[in-house]
Amino acid sequence: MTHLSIETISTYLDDELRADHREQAERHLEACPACRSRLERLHLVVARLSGIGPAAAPTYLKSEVQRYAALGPIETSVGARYEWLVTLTRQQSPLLAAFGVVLALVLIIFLLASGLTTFSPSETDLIVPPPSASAPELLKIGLRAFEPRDGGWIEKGWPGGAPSRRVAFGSEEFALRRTAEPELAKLTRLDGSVWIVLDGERIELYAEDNL
Amino acid sequence: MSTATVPLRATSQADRALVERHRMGDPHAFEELYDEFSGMVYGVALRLSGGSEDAADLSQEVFLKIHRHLGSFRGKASLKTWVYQVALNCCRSRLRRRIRRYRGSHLPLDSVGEVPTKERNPEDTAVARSEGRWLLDALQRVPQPFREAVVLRDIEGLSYREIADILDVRIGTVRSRIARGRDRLRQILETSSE
Repeated sequence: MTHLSIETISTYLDDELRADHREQAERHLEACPACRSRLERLHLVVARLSGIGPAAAPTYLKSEVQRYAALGPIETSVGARYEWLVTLTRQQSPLLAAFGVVLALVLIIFLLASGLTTFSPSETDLIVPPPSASAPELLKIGLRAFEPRDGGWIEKGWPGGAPSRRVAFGSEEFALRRTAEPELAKLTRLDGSVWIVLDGERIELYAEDNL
Repeated sequence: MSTATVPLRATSQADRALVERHRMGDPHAFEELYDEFSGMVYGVALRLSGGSEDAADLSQEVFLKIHRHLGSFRGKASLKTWVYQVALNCCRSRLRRRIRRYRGSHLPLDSVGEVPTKERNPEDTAVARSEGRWLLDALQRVPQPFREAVVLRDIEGLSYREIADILDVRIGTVRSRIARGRDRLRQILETSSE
């Protein structure tokens, strides 16, 4: 006697067999103790699994997810730097704002002319090229700054050469680094991969877009 | 105990409205989505990863991906199908990384896709033999493609058609994976109870 395949038994259990196949299976089960035993044992497994019940996500998870999701759009260096001026001109008298700007310019010119200071960008200042379609301004994320490159972004001050290894945004390693430096989470919102120096190592962060 | 009261294939009006609200920047849209699917996502992650800590991590990863990509959801499948797919893909990625790590440490794996469980001392094993924990541990030893099919069918209560849509395979493949997964689980349970 040819026994029923495990697939037939399992599908019979789920009542997913075609009508004619179900009848054949039932006739066989009536006559075959071995297949009846396999059916009962499989039924026991299914019953145990069905009894597991629904799971509830831990309550702290919601606030964690909302916190990361609420990071909002990536701030641009220019927007953040000069937002105070935009607010001032909108809320205060335009004349007062214009006077303040003129005063600031006069002071800068005086200082430069007197040689008391030189205007040289520090390491954390941003050199902002004229925005264009192909060269948007630098992005500042935390204490780091990134500029566009083919296929993604590269950290300002990159030491040169290719990254020594790749780390996925969804990896445990990145999750650990994010714990130490929460601002890194914003990098997941950038298009393309990100070349970044972490602990002195040149790393490429990338998204596993397995949707 | 099916969790699907609406066929998964349809993108409902409510789903479309929720996605549109998210696109328009309504923060409550994502909160509603989280409230609707968090149990489902956490459950799938728990049963596929075998641990509550991993499941919490995975759930967070899933919802961050959903938040990032919900705006590009086109509605070819239902929102529920899409959420299941994101969850499964995150679980698979986690498993691939874990397998690479174990391979690097030269620990043996019985077959592809099994999650190596940590060694327990006999006392812990006895304690762990509560039905639910025992079953979940055994489930981790079922190869991943079969484990997914069994979880979606016997725990999530989805139909063969719904599972085929989520896994993007034919119904015949679903039937086969469920059968082989159940049979493998049966062997593991029967062997461990001897």
